[in-house]
Amino acid sequence: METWVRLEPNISNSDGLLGRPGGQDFNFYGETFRIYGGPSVGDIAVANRAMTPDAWTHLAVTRDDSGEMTIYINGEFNASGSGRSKATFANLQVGRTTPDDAGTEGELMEFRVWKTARTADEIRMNFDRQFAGNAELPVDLEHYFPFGGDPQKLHGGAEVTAVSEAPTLLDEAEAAKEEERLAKYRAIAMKPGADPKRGEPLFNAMCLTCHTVSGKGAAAAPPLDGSGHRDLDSLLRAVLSPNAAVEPGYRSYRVETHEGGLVEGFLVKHDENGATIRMMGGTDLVFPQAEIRRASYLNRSFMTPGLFDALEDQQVADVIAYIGTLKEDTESSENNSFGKQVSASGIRHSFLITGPATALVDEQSNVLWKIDGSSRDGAVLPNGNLLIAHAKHAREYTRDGEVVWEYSLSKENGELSRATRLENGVTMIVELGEKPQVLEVDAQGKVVIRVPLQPETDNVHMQTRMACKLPNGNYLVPHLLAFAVKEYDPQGKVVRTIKTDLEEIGGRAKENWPFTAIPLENGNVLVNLTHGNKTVEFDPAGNVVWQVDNTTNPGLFADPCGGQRLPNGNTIICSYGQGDSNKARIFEVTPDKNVVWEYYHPSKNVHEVHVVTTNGKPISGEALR
Amino acid sequence: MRVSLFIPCFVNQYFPEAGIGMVRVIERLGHSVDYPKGQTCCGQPAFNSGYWEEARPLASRMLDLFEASDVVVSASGSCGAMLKVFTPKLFANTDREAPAQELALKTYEFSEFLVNHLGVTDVGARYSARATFHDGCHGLRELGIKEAPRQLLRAVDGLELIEMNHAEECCGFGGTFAVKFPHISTSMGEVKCSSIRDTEADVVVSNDSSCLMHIDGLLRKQGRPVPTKHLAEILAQT
Repeated sequence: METWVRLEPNISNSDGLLGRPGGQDFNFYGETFRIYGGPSVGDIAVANRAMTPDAWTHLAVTRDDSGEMTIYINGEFNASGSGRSKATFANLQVGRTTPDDAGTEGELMEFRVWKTARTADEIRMNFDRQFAGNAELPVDLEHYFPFGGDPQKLHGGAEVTAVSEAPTLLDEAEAAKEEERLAKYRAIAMKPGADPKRGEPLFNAMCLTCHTVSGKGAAAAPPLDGSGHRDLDSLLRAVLSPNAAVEPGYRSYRVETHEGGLVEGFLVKHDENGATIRMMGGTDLVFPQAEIRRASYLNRSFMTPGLFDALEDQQVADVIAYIGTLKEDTESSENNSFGKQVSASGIRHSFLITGPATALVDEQSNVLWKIDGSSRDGAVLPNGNLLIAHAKHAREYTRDGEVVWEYSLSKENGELSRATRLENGVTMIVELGEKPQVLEVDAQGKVVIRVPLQPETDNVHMQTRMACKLPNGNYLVPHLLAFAVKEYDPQGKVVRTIKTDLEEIGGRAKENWPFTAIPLENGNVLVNLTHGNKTVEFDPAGNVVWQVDNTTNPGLFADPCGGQRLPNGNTIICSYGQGDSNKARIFEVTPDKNVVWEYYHPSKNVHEVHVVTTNGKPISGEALR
Repeated sequence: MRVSLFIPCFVNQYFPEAGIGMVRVIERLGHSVDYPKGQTCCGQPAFNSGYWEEARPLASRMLDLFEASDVVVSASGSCGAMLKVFTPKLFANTDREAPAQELALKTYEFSEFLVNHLGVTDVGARYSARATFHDGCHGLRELGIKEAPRQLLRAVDGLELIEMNHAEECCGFGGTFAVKFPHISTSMGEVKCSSIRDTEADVVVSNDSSCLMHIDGLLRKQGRPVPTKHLAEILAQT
């Protein structure tokens, strides 16, 4: 199946493409597209990057004879399935997801279900085409809903509507023209005599004006490291049809003012107060909402489609030959690095990343350990093993990837959000769902403590996240939609509440959803407020004693999720919603709010982090995270 | 009203008909026109390239030339933006800051002058054609001029204004940009030309002759020329 989709912000597993309650589900768990085979099967395939809200994205899933499923994003391969499933997918509804009380918030277009597994070439060839208006539909097309659903059979809140900033889809005639162009350049590229040496200066003059290779060039467009691995058609499509799909972090936002002004740049923030646009070079322009006539993402790329048309045929061949030599991938280069750390004062951490990627990196950002697939939380254990919370399981992995301990989510619940190993060797687990709860599970997998939670919402994904156990035996639990961190005794009685909708941090309107509740040694509590884009330290009575946000660090806070307080008093924060790869995915601020360390990655956001060493020294004492 | 014309290099050297058109329109509206002699480059290419020191003597000369003028009207959105936006930046915190700001306040791009300063949209022009309007970047983005030229064109007797796709997108000229990045400039221009051809317009109009020069060159090279005209040339026709 394949479709174009645009999802509203706060993407969760309440958003989906195809599913049935309690069963198979093509949805967006943890902001990431996945194919879920139902409770007994779990995830069959998970995309390797999170979705970007408000961006039209093309998603395609294929299943071959062996039951292996493959995910394609914007016409290109993204991820192979971790499992296989030959089960029949039946009685599924477009846009329907498992939670009964929620539904997909977004728009679908060109929804297609095929009788046969499409090839990578076919997906690339067709993802930016529309079939409506064709003289004949392809014979293998089983179901075709140009606007996401059959208007005769819409249920719930579904409706057929004019979509905003729809993707530019080609009709039959335009597609034929595009094919002709593609064929012309394919022939040029394959003619013998191309010389990468001649292509290099041309590539540098033309492509590095906006792109980078090995950090050289301008970072206004996605890095081209590793482009040599792309097959010719994929490369040609990217150059000839840049508007077909724009990388989320590089989309341009346009603001038009009542006075006639027009500004385009990268969107930092747009809320009820107005829009902040970052211009090339880093200047931020702020437009109060009252001055804005219209504002939206542009669905066109900065890159112009005619770049090759401006060259001689021989030059095109030479440039393509040079691109073919760019085989060093920033993500898996020889030195095995994963992202990069930047610090003027020379701070280097070794840390575990969880989220769309699950990896432990050393102080040079080289991978020490990595597993495929996404995760929600994780920690490096004293024995060197790694405790990882996936969506439905918590597992302890050795450095060789062997699973030596496992806990699976309770049947009645929908998500597992945290796993931490306590001093006595038991594992604290947080479950979200019908029965939100904190559990303590022993080495044999037996639940030894069960603490029911009161998250004040049925929205499973928003019930809670990174709870902690306190030295007094109680539990400190952040409840996002309750706007509160609650302290529970082991019987589940709430003995203290810290409110995050206080007027001094913006009240309810700022949507300060507590994500962490980290007990500090002095009794204070450190809370990352996702969506509210700030980090706040509360005293034991719930008063704000320290706060850091985008006012001192514009654009840096983008849905802060996980975090850690370091022994020197600095705070590590993960900007899980960061859509701009030119900005840090994780950063470290001092008590006086200076950013002293940043971690960049071209594509992977970080959900939660565990810093284990700093400049060669292990973090002393228990990690405050 | 006495109106001082600011005629930038492109118009002076290559497209004098744009300046002549401005004189005709302004005089037809009952105002007098003067042309302070000795106008040179306003310094924008140097300013845009980072040579602010080298730009200052030229920009300073403009401050002197137009010191006695009541109103200055520019034949170009781009060079108009130099006087209105960039020159004050160039002289910020210098002894020429005040005159720079004074000049900025009394300078108008041509269409902005007619519509927003004089309050005129119908200048009594007659021109039979299907026309499409290209927004020059500086006029649009620095000066916020989008509606004024369109209002003027819509009021022209016999003229049908057809919007091209993505009219606000850069044509790729960009002054020194075209010299530094010829391939990207050409490629952007091709996209612009294709949008223009899609409208099937008889004429491409803009308030910047430099954009039109770039577009005209590409259209000719493709062997499918469409006449290009400065807004003032159209408005001068009766």
